[in-house]
Amino acid sequence: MTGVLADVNIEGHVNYLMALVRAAPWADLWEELGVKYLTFGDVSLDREATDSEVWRVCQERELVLITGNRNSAGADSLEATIRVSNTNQSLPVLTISNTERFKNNRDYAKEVVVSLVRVLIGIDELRGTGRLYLP
Amino acid sequence: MEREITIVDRGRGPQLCTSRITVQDLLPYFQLGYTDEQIIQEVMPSLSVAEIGAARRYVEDHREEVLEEDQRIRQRNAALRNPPEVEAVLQRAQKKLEERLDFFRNHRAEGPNGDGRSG
Repeated sequence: MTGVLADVNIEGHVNYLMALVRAAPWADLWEELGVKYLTFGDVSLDREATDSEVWRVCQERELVLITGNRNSAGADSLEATIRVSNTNQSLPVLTISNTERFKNNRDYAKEVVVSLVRVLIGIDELRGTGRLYLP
Repeated sequence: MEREITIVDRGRGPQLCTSRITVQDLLPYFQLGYTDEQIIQEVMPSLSVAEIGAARRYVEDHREEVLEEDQRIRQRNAALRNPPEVEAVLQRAQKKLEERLDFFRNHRAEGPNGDGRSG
């Protein structure tokens, strides 16, 4: 796993999340994990990319996608993509469970940080698990 | 000529024709009273004012069905949990996380020369 990729529907939240993990008391541990933070532009993904395209780029480039949780259950939904494409080597997709609370509640934001760091520490045991929730 | 911004359905619910961002992605911020500028600065920096306006108009024109879908999404999300096998992995990761935080905390307390000074 080389980095995390912010979906465009949650980029502002992930910017905030990255600011938190790069500050005390997390900064040293974050540096040790060596996780890069990337946006769609960094990996040449179009803003209009489908879930299956985003999934493919993440798996090819060993990136963990952080995305929102407001999708409808359509034929090209992320859930459908995971059902079809997931293998036991696939990296999971991370979802911040409550994005509104994340922006407005510092204790909850801290829970999301802890949850993200735990996932990244255990990432090799979490391959193939599909979609995971923070916290 | 600028591309006309419409709301389309590509299998993920109503979304902008110019972005994978859906109406339902934006709805909570409309409900919270965010301005267009706040949405761009704090939530979805790739959006333009025109794109947010198109989504706002769609919500106004399809209020009942949009709010019904919002309720379905909120009910579904309230029930989402990681499975037990994932929680077991995360519990083991928690121990390692605490060990590493302790290590860095002690390392800072000792200072680079091991003399309790920070620099």
